[in-house]
Amino acid sequence: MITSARGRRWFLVLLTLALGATFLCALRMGAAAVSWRDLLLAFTGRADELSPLSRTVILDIRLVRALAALAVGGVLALCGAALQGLFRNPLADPGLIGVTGGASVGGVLCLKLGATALAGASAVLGDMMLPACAFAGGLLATALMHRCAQVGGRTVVALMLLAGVAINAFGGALVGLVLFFSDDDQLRQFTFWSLGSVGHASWPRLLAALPLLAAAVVAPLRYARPLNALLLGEAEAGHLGVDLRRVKSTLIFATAAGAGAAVAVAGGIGFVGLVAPHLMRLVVGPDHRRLLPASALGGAVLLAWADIFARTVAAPAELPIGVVTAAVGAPVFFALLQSRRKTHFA
Amino acid sequence: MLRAANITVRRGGRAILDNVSCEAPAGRVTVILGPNGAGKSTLLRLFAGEFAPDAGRVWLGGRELSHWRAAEAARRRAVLPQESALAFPFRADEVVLMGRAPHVRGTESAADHAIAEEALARVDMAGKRARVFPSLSGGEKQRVHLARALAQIWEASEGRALLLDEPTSSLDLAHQHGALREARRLADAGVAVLAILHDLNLALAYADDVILLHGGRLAAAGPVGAALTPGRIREVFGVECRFLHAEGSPRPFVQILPPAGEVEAVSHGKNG
Repeated sequence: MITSARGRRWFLVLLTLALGATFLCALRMGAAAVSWRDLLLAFTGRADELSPLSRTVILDIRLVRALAALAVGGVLALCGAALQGLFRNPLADPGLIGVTGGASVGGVLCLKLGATALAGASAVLGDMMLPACAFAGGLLATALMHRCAQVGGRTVVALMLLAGVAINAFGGALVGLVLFFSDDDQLRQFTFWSLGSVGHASWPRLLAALPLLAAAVVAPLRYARPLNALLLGEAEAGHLGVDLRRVKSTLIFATAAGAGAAVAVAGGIGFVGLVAPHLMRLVVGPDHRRLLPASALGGAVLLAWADIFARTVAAPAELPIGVVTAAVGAPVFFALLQSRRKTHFA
Repeated sequence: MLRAANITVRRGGRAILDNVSCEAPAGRVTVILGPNGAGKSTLLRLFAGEFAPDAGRVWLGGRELSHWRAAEAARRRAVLPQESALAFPFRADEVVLMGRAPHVRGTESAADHAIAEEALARVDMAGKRARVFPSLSGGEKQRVHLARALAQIWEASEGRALLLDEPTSSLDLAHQHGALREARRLADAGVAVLAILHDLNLALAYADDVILLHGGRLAAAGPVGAALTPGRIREVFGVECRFLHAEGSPRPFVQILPPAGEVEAVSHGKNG
């Protein structure tokens, strides 16, 4: 852990630089070759000097994809860090406790019924329909999980994780049911989506999710100090003047918004919300005023590299990014469980 | 300062507190006493604003507790919980600094850091301020939390209150008295101190007033000399005792006697 204030500031600067470098790498690396010179041209307003191929690759394909990966990774990590503070447990992750599952159900229902049963709502919301449905599903799941895990004003971790299992199972059943009634084309779309992929990101989708993404970034950062107090316990946070009801409901709302937006843009990507905050906590410590921004930056970098890996390792074929994050995240989760076996579950 | 009128708290159909009226005036140490399940913690948590009573009213200063904003109340009322599980690796001084949260906008000032340092010194933890909280012993954790509560109401101002839920439960002998001397010092500075204690001798040594609870009802309240008598102790705790007076000490101490039957048996043995 870095203990000096100076060191921590430098670390945040370093993370920001890494974010910029990652962004450039995400534009340059991939199946089709793009040179640094092409990137320079694209970003200095001389895009018309590019070859048509480079131009399409950079501006139409990779730019939106890179931004989507950074935004989704950052928001998922931020939501994970906020949830871990809210529930005073480093094992909370939007995917594990059912938030992402609920959002996925909302998203799948929207894709399946958006043109038929929910056509009225679709007409009103337009492109916002998918993020809105995913947000609603995520909110429902979070509220349910929160209710289930509370015993006498305290959050019981085992109940929280088990409620997540139940919500995920139920969500899986609903998604399965929808898949059963889908044609081949829908099926392929759903499969990619449920495994997670930023390859389907498009400007309209990203813009439609923007309000939710923004809410998921602003609210946790604003409540960094109350989140610190909450680590002492809910009663203790109340003694320190934290308006518990408001902080809790805002954060639950914000994390559902973040998970909903992430699902709408990129499907169900797991473990970023678990791994990124955990790594950052090792470096900057548990204070949310540093942990939250560091997690957002770290999560963005992490997911962007996962995407670069996913589309270059077997190029021109692509791995679903959710497969990559799960392959890395599951062992980290396991290691976390092992290290906390005695302190948390004995 | 802290006042409760006709408080009733019900949980699952059972009255945990039944029509209790009491107060903790400014400048005095008020000790809540009573056997297990008497409703001591419930009464303290009511004053801490953790929940509202099912009937009756609670005041902090001149205003009803429900009319205070959480942040505003936190600037004048600090609470030491009985135990607090903090599993995240904050340093001891960072935990104490959290007590300054109600007073701080933005980042903590140098003054806030100085207060945290001094508060740690008051509980004899200055040497361990850089230790990671989860690695401290139970008693050390309790002292850090006491320092946090002290830092929260550090600046002299009107109408401060300090609530202590068994502040000595994990402490060794020296630190038990150290903690209660801090409480005494704050009361002398005008703070209303309300503490739950189990040790009658600590209560007799440090309390100005006592609130004696028995089965959710008020058994006695008032200045310690009048409210806490061997008769009341027998009635509430079910033990025989007598008060002894040490030469030169203004306050008595209590000696617990064996139950009446055993005393007879012992004296019989002597006679025979």
